[in-house]
Amino acid sequence: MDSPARRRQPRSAALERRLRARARRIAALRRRVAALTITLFLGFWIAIYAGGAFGASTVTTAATTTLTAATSKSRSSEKSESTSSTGATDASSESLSSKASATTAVSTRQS
Amino acid sequence: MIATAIGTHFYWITSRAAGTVALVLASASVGVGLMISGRLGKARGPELRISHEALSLAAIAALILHAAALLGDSFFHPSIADLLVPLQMDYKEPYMAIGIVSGWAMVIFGVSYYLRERIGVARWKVIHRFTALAWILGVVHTLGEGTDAGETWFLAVTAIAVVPVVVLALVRMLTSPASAATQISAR
Repeated sequence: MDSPARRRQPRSAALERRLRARARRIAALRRRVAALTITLFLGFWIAIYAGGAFGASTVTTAATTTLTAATSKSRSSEKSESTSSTGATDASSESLSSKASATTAVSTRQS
Repeated sequence: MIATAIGTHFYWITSRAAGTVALVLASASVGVGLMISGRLGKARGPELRISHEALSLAAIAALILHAAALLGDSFFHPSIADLLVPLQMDYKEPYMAIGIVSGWAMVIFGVSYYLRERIGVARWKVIHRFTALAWILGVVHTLGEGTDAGETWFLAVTAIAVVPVVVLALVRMLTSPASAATQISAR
């Protein structure tokens, strides 16, 4: 007849195997979550960087278009109006340039 | 040129990316937590519990990176107090304060898991439920303050992360013993 110690031996080995398998499953799950975290972070980083770059160029293009359109408009009004309107044109040009610099600042922050 | 752009915006982009990761992981963690507490995750309880813990820790790490990266941003340039104390910094309030409160709550309720023996398991379970509230505040902060909140890809990611959790929460509320008891008493 087996002694209690001998009977306990295979049971503890099986338990050990089960515990080891459980530890492996836990480690695998944790590794998977860590890998998911890093992948998500890199993916979002690239997406934001790429999106920001595209967004900045779009904003800059839009600002340039607005600036060009507004300048040509002010030039045409300069031609048609009398010399007294020069001050107003200068003021509008100034506001346009400040708008453009503000837009550049926004595009810089967005990217 | 690209290197200069990365250099200027490195911390800002890192913070935004880490914030998005934190939202996704926190949503996944809350979702798994709801599955554990409800009937949906009974069959795979131990595995879900480990996933829940790992996702929570990863979300907390992403949250810390989300805040810490802002310290390096030369444009925003906040102090440590600005990032830790609500209403300290006058920037996009109240969403900034909501984000700080949510972040603190996430960290405190998350770490409280390791102190549950000391707190008492029953009391800890009650406290732990407030994590869902912290998560809701996090979503409000994201949509209210997030720089990318207007971007389609970001809204899609938020919807993918948030909608399943809302559905799970509704299922959990409708199938909870309390609501069952209410239905029985109503009969």
